[in-house]
Amino acid sequence: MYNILLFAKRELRVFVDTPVGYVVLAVFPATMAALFFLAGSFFAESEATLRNFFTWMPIAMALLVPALTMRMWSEEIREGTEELLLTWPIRLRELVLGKFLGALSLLFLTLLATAMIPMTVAYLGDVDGGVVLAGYCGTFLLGAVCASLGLLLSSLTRNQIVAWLSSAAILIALNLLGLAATARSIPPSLAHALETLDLGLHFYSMSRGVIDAADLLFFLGLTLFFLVCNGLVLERRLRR
Amino acid sequence: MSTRPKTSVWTVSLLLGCLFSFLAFVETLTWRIDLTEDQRYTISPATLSLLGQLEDRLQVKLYFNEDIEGAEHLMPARKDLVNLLEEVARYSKGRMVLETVDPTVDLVAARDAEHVGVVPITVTDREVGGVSMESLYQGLEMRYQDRSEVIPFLVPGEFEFAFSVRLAALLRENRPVLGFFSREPALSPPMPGLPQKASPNRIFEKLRERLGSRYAIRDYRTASADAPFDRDLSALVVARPEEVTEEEQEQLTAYLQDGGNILIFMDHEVIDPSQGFTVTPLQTGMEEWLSLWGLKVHPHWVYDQQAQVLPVGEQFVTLPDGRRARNVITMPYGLFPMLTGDALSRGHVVTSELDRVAMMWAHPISYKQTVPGLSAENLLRSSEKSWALPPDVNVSMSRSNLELLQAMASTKGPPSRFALGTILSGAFAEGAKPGVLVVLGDADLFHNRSLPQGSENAIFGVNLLDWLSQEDELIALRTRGRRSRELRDFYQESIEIQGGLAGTDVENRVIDRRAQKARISAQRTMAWSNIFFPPLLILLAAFGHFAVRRSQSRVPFVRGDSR
Repeated sequence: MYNILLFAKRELRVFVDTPVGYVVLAVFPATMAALFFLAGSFFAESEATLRNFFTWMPIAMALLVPALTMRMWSEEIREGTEELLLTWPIRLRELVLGKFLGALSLLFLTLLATAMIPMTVAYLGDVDGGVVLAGYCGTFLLGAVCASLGLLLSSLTRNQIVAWLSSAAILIALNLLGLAATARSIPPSLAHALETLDLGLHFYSMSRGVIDAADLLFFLGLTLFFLVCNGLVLERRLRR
Repeated sequence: MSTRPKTSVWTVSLLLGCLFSFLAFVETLTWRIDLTEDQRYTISPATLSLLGQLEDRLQVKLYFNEDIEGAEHLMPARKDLVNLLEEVARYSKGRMVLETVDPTVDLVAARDAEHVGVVPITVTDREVGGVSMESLYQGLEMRYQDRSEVIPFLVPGEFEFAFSVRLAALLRENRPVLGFFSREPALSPPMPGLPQKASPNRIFEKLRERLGSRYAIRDYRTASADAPFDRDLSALVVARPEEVTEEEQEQLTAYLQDGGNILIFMDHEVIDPSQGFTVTPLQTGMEEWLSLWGLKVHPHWVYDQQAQVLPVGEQFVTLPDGRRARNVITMPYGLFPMLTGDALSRGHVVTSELDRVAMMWAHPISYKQTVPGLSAENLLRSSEKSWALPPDVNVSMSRSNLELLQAMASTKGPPSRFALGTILSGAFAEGAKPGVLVVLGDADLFHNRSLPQGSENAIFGVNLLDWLSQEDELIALRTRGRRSRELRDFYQESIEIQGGLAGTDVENRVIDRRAQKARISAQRTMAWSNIFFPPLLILLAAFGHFAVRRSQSRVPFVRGDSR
């Protein structure tokens, strides 16, 4: 556990030691606030709800989280420190979990930076606190899936941009699977499978205020799957 | 050939297999926490109790087409609907059998849907080179023993209520009966093959229709010792009483003292907006009867500043680009009180979750105890800024008259609150069975023209009668999720800060302009402070962090210094 925390701390320090980290941290809440208050119809609808805020979340997470994780492995590969890391006397899973925990801490900080939005809505009207809580839980779990996939793809390339683009593309595709399921040419069984895999649908279910075991375990299962894959990629590289 | 790639393929396949099996298993789980304030996504105790009463198999056929290309935005809500139905089926412990059919691919299902009255809605799908129309089925048929009920089109937010109401109807062999005592013309006799057409003078027909899904309605045009109000009525509605005779009053008293429940909504006049707002006085014949119980519905009208806003005219303005635009002028019409917030009794199940009730030319009610043992409760009240205006004022909705009414109200002394709906409960005579009498100082709120689709007045009416019929378990379900969470009204706040709209037309326009500006400015402040404040804090933190780092890096390195 100590090693995991050590690596998480290291990732966090690398992030806050660069101006880019702060820029990411500052741009995200500003963009979300602009989308919610200016681009959306919050004041026109005159309803104290964060529905429109959470509607943007799947796409926002698909773009933001890979940006947080893109350098975590590819930078190590590019600078040649990966070999050094892999030969340290620590378990591979501690390394993977350390990086993942680091990414989650960054995600937490970024979501914390958006806290002013629900506070403003609560000041303006009687917002349903349970829905906000469930929405943030859903966002965090969705972010965890994005982070684990971002880390996996970052470990496959030395180019950060490639890591970000591929992660974002896959995550956006995973958010649109449910739409594909509505097409006439898709057989019902495949449509059901596509709906099951749709990140957006599971997130929608949580953002309305319900924490469902199916959604919770879906996010956790997918996160674990990508983390295991990440470990396998590193193990293969270590053997080579 | 190396075995490593083969091993990798096997590992990845195994992992994928595990993942899909896990996800398939996860889909079967049903545990959940509903964090919404009103437990909107949890099956209510009322539905569970109804499901527990099932003695036979309940067959539910869902007419549902999976293919909704062109209406993808409906998918999450449709998924919610299916989840809810499956949850209900689980709670039925095997007594409810759910079957899903797709009428767009199954001709027999399409014929059945048409036969039972499940209607598709048409969805327009834009395609390359044209537009196609698709049918969307989302109806439900419920069969229990020899009875059946149909929901032609299910709306996810209202599913549980629609389902439970029909389930309650299926479980009951005979529907509860509501009496409707009014002077409206009778329905024309039913003709085979022809729908029964109601006369336009049956002004409470829409209310009857709303109640018809749960109750059998029995009309009474008169009552006498030979033809009294039946005692099997679950409640009696006295709709806009008119020249009620002494004999009828005696029957009302007898019914009430026999433990009956009565709802009276009354007016002292008939106002016809289509005939230039002519006011025709109405002899209710109820004054004496109401005074027996200490109640009085005054002939005055309540003028409330919290009122419905109506269009009173239009003006043309020239835009900067030279075009002329039409601007509709609206003003609150104080004789149409809009009851919201604490104007609706929050402690009573009928109104606790209601958002608003719109009244029209309402009369204040006063109560003075005359019968010991009766308890009174105000269900509806006007806002704090209300006055009573004499019954001879002009009620037209012209702009000048609205200004005149406003000026007249302000000369009536300090504002106060008036009861507009009162409940009396208890024994209406010594040794009598306890009954309930509800009196509303307005009948227009249930007039056909006041009950459009989704009207809160209709929900109020149905809630009230459910409560009177001791069927209040479904009230909470009906109003669940209906309470709106409105934002602070900066416009109204600004008007109040400026002392309200009580001056001349020119002054009002200035106040209105200032209030509009205040609203826009407050909204912009909120939006821009959200956009700039958190980044500013983060950038300040960054500057602080880097400043500390720089100052630390300037400290010279000293061998043996453990810092």
